[in-house]
Formats: sequence, structure tokens, C-alpha cells
Amino acid sequence: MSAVRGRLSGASRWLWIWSALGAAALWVGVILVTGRGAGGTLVAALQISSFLVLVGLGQMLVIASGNGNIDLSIPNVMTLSSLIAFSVAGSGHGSTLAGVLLGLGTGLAAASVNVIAIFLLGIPPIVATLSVGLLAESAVLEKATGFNQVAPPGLQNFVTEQVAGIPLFAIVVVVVTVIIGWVLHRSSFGRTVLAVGQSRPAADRAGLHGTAAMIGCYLLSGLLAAAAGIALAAFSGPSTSLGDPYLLTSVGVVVLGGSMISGGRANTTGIWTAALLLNLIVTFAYDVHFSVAVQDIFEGAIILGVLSFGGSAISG
Amino acid sequence: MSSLAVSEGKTARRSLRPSRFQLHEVRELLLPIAALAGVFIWTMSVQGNALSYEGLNLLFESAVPIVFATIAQGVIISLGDIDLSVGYFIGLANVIIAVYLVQQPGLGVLCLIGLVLAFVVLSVLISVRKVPSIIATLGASFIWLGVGRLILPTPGGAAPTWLSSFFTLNPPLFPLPIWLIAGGGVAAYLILFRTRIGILIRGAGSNFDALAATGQSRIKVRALAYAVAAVFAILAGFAVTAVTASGDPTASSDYTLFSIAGVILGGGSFQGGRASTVGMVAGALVISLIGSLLGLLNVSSSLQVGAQGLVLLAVIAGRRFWSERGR
Repeated sequence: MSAVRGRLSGASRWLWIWSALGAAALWVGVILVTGRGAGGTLVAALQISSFLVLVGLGQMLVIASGNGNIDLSIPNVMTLSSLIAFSVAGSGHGSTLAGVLLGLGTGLAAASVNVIAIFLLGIPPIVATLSVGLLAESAVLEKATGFNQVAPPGLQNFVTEQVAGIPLFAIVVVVVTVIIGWVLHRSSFGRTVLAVGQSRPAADRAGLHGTAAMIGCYLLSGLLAAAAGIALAAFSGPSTSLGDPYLLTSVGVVVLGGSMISGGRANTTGIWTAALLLNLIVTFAYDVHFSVAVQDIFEGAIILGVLSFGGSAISG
Repeated sequence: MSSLAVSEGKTARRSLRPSRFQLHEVRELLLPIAALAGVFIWTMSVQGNALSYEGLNLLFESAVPIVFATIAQGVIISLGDIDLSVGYFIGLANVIIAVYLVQQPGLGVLCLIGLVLAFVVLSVLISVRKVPSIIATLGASFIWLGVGRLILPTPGGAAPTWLSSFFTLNPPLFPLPIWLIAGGGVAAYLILFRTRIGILIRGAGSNFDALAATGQSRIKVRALAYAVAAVFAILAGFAVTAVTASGDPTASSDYTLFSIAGVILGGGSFQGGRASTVGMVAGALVISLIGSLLGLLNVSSSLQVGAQGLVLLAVIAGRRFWSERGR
């Protein structure tokens, strides 16, 4: 039994290779179809993927803590945080820093409601975070009436800036990825997250503060969702449906990247390869002039396809 | 949780049947039923003529799809799985009914059968490749949405004439929606508690490994459960089409959350193995009536979404404290 388990976990550790190979194939596909330069295609993919990586990292932390934990409030938290930030800092009036801080605070506040609902009221995470998402959606709709702010110029420059041809924001997200990878595998917080994700009773008996670790994951997820939402709104303009595509994709990058959906194992490199894969799918589908409908089918089919390749490795 | 012993012996059979007078089971049902009574009385006090035949008809019309969606979700959850695609699945059924069933009935029927088969194929993928249902159904939801958009890029179509005339029927005693809800509940009860399929599904939810040890194929049991769920979801699609008189692949997306909340409110458990059809139907009705009540109370449409979220949190937290005190 333990031999089987070892073999499976070995397979899962390398699952991200599948998404990396898929991303590479689509990269070549896009270059062939459009005749665009290889570098330009990659830079565009890095830029767009960095927002997904940021929310994916938060979702990965929550899912890694196991016990049915999942954050489905991410899309609406992204949208709400960006609207709050822009309502203070938008159009270059008020202070950009104050706006961003308030936006991040919004993410933390929403995450705190998740935490109260899950750990104080004992509501299952799926229902709790979906309901908190509804609360945030209401706030978005209220906030959006008569909203006409655009991104503060400083923030817009920050997310579109390139250093030596590489998007600055992607570099920042790579640094964040490395930090989270380090925290997860080297710090006592991260090890508690993985331990409680593997076995709650075992973690409890080892005297670890499992609940505190899970709470930390939700707070980080809210913070990262807010940061991604603000950055994305600065990049592509604020909208009430800004975060909507991130419900599926934030969970998708975690699983396609080789983290275990039942918790206990996380892979930060895989978040990047999976995010590149998902975004290149959309780019490819767009370039070969698939309709939105076919893009949806294509995305769903690729996710199910990759899952059926590495499926038994995911559930552990 | 029901003890698991699938053998042909009479005692083992009886243990899987619902025992009629178990105190904690009655207690589990009290909360959704009390919540339903509370919401219903509140609605009556706001809108007095809601108790009339026509008032009840309007009030429960929009509840029909939610009840059927909740039963579909309940079957999947009693297996220990979860279906995050049921909203878009209903949306796709709605589009097939509003477009093909109106224009080419033969093709429409074939498409609906194909939809059940597609969901069964998904269940086989989940069983064979051990993909978690949560992520497999999340992926599948994109396919349902995409196919729905392919058939009907912008909302449109119409309800088949036989369907709209069926929904204008005025049966005796209660308006049609109440008969449909009761019929759906009875059908779900008979399938889950009085047939071999239902016993296998609930047994699998209690302990899949034990069930597999008795020689039952996991693939078969899951496929049966998913087929039953797909049929109920398609019935929800019929109800949506009749109520809205049109097709829209995205209009039903909220049913995913509503159905999960309805099952949990009705006493279901994500661990599987537990199901109460009365609880599921009551849970679904509470969620539907709260939506109508918020409308009657003139809560602004942007705040209604959040109010619904808040009520869900409150009621489900209440159900948890209620069942803990009972232990």
C-alpha cells in the first residue's frame, strides 16, 4: 500500500510537466498560426498569466490545507477590491498608495468573513465562500452604479512596465511565487499547512495549530485576490465582471499544476506552467478565430483531458 | 449514517431502509421545515393574497427548477461527490429544449438523451481516472456552457407549445407547481429509498470501499447515480424553459449554489451517505421563497444577491448549531 502511495505521489510531483508540455505546444501553435515572434508571444503570455498565478497561489494555499478547504469567493473579491481601490485612487486624483492599501484591506476583510463563516459558524467551505462571494457581488453592484473611475496612471505604468523586454509585473509575481514556495516548504506555517492538509488528526496530535494555519491561508488568499484584482483592473480597465473567469481557472491551475485537490501537497512551479497553459489555450483559440462558445468547450476539454492523464495522481 | 451491509439477507436489507421513528432524524428535519414555515408565513404577512390559488402558483413557479436541481445535487452529494456544473447543465438543457425541441423534436429528444450520456461519461472519467468530482464537474461546466452558447449565442428560442400549455393547467386542490414539487420529491424518495439503485448510491456514499468489497462496481454505481441526477437536472431545464418561455445558457448558473445550499440546509452532508428527500425539498423551497420574499420586501436588486448570501450563511450556521445540540 505504501509503495503504491509512494509511486502515485512521485507521479503527481511531475504532473506539472504535462501542463508545461501543453503550454509549449500551444506556444508553437500560436507562433505558427499567427506568424508573430516567439518572444512577443511569450511576453504577452507571461503578462496575462501573472494575474492568474497570483490568485492561483492563494487558492493553492487554501486547497493545500485540505479538509475540504477551497476559496470560491475569489472572483467577486477581485472585482470588489479593484473598485474600492479605484474609487479612492482612480483617475489620478487621491493617493494611489491609499487606494491600493484600501483595496488590499477589502480583500482581507472579505477573507475574514470567510474565516468567521467557516471556523466560527462551522459552514462547509464551498457553501461559505460561495455565499461570501454573493455578499461581495452585492457590494460590487452597489459600488458600480455611477462608477466612472479609470486606473491611476502610476499603477497603470507599474503593471505595463517592461524590464529588458520582460514584463515588470511578471517578475514581481515570480518573486512572490518564490517567497510563497519558500514559506510553504521551509517555514513552520507552511509545514503546518501541509501537515494539516495531509491529516488533521495527525497534525493535532503533533501539537500543531491547524486551524490557525488554515485561517492564515484564507487571509493570504483574500490578500492575493485583492492584489491581482487591482493589478488586472489597472491593466485591462475596471469592470463588474473583472474576476468572473477566475472561479474555474484559479482552481484549474492548482490541480493542473500538480497540487493535490485533497490537500497536503502543493506545487508553486506548476501554478506558472498551468497558468501559461490556460492562457495560451485562450490565445490560440482566439487566433484561430474560435467563437467564445468553442473557446469554452476547448478550455473545458483540455482541463478534463489533462485531468484524465494525471487523474489518479491528483486524488492521491 | 446508515450501516453498510449489502447482502441479500433480510436483516441487512432492513438496516438500509429508513427507520421511521428515529428521534435524531425527525430532529434533522425540523429545522428546514421550521425555516420553510417561517419564510412562508413572512411572505403571507407581506403579501396577503399569496395564499390564493393564483398567488401560490406564482410563488412556487420559480421554486420548481430549484427543487429539481437540488434533488439532482442531492443524489450526487449522497454519493459523496459534488456537482459544480449543475447550473450550466440545466442551462444547456434549457437551450436544447427552447431551440431543438421546438424546431426539430426528434433531434431535441436525441440531444437530451446525449446530455444524460455525456454526464454518465463524466462519471466514468471520475471513477476510472480517480479525478475528484469537484474539479471534473468544474471543467465540464465549461463544456456545457460552451455547447449552450454554440446552440444559442444570444438568449432566445421559445417553450414548446405542449410545455407552456401544460404549465397553464389548473389541477384541483393545489396549483400545478406544488403538484410538480411534490411529485419530484416522491419520485426522488422512491428512487433513493425504495429501489436497489438508491440503496447502492447511498451505500456508496457511506463507504465506497465497503461497497466495492461486496463486488459492486464503483463505475456502475457512480454511472447510475449520475444518470439519475442528469434526468432530474433535465427536468429542472424543462421547468426553467416553461417559466421563462425562452432559452439562455447562462441564466441558470445560480442553481449550482442554490442546489448545494438546499441539500446542506435539508440535512445532507458532504461526507455522503445521508439523504432526506423531505429535507432536500424543504431546503430548496426555503432558498427559493427567500428570493421571492426579498423581491416582495422591495430590497433593491443589487442588494438581493448579498441578502441571499447572508441568509444562506445564517440558515446553514443555524442548522449546524441545531444538529450539534441534538447530539
